Amino acid sequence: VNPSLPQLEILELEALLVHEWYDQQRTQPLSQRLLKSGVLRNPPIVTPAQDDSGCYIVLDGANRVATLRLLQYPHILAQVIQPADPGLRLRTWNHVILDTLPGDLVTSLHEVPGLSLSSSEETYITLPSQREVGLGIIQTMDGKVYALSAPEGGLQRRVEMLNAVVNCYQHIARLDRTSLNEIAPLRPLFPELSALMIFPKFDILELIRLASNGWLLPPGISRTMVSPRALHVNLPLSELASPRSLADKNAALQAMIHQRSQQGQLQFYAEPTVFFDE
Amino acid sequence: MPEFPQLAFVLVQSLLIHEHTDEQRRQSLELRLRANSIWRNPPVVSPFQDDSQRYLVLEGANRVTALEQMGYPHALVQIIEQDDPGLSLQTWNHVVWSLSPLRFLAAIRDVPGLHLAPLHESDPQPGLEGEYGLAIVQSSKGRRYIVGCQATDLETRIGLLNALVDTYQSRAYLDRTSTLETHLLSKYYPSLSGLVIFPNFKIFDLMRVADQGCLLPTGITRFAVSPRALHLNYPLEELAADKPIDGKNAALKKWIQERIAHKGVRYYAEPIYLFDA
Repeated sequence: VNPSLPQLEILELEALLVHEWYDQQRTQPLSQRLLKSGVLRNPPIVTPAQDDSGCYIVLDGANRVATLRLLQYPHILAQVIQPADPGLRLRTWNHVILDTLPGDLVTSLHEVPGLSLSSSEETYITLPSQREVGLGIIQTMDGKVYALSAPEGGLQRRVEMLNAVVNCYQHIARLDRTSLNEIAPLRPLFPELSALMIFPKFDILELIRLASNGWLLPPGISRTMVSPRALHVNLPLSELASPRSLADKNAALQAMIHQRSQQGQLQFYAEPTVFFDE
Repeated sequence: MPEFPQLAFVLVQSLLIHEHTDEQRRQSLELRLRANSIWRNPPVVSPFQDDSQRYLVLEGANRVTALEQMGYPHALVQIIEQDDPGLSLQTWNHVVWSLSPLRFLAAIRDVPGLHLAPLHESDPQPGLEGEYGLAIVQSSKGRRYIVGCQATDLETRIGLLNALVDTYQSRAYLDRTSTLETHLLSKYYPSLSGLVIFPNFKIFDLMRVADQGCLLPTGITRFAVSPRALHLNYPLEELAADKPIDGKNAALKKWIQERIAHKGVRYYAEPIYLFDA
């Protein structure tokens, strides 16, 4: 007996609050792909804001949300998960920094106002705590490790500083992302590797607070894992665009899910999967 | 990405299935393959532990049989070793419904070579080997019976296991379940006939079965393969092409590297529900 189906709902697009900047470079091709395919393939993941606003925080899918907003859609399909759901886990993507010299990177970081870099030859160092706020750790190809910190100033200040750090290097380097926390295994994969930026973790209540206040994280550093995750729903965009009421659209969505279930089109995979058609 | 599935072309004739195929599904699959011209999900296979260069088809018997019927020389498969920690084997049980519970039990008793006896706690677990029972049947009221047989040879026992499934699969509805208790099922199945609990198999058992040319009933083995390769969508013409297998494997490797470079490959660590299976 498989676990319960993911909770899928069509929501007002304007009720969605993002917690991270969207990637402008990705929204243009994404909107072209969306319009060409005519379907919303994978629903963004959202969680209800912990207030009476009726808003939802976008945990995964900020670019899809931004794209549908640009296309002026009234509604969006989303997978809703409660903040306390045991199937929700938050992780962090780290930045693989490519095509720049470690020295140039460090020099640029020194120019970020309010940012402190403490260097070490140790591979493992911990983030500063107490009166300072830890912003991350940078491991460079020349064997140095830097802890990045700023004077304490609360969650908003921490997010501002993180954006300043990412803005500093994203203009002088090319970025990829990884779940690894160590630079050594990345060396054979990226010949042009310069450094690895390891970000601090945020919990769900922090993300909700960030989004509710409009304090946005750099794009693509938070990583949401939901179990089970709904994939390849392929809801026609015409269904989202139509002038029908939200209630009617949700009734039609549930009927579609029921029909697909009856036709054996829903398949559960408990194990990790690798998709080749993303 | 922490792990990557091993994908390769192998000879279709080197693939041995361990379960019966579903002729209707195979035919519709063949039509879909020809219409879409893509190889979507690779079957999962495991190499025999001898020097025969053969592979046991763990999952995808209908797909492999369809390729065989279409005369294709090569199949694109996911290969996993028997002892890979990412591979586990479980058994699906059958929930049978819409057949009267009495007829359900009577039909099993009527199979020559099979008998039903009340199950005692001290009874050994059913298995493919030896003199033990072949399966356990639980009535809609929760009574448990061992499905016994006198035969000890593998071929006869597997034949009787198929005969057991034949007693209900064309006369009743059945669903697959991992549940072992009918009381958990009765609220979902008001016309429950009973539950058939199959033995727990090991991959080595399945290799012996396939090696002897025997086939288990369809869909009672259940493999978890971690990570599983899905939606490969490889051009079908590449499987059909009259080219050496080494060249096909080199082209496949290059194709995968290009997919990765263009961000066309994504790993999901968490359980998923696919809505377009």
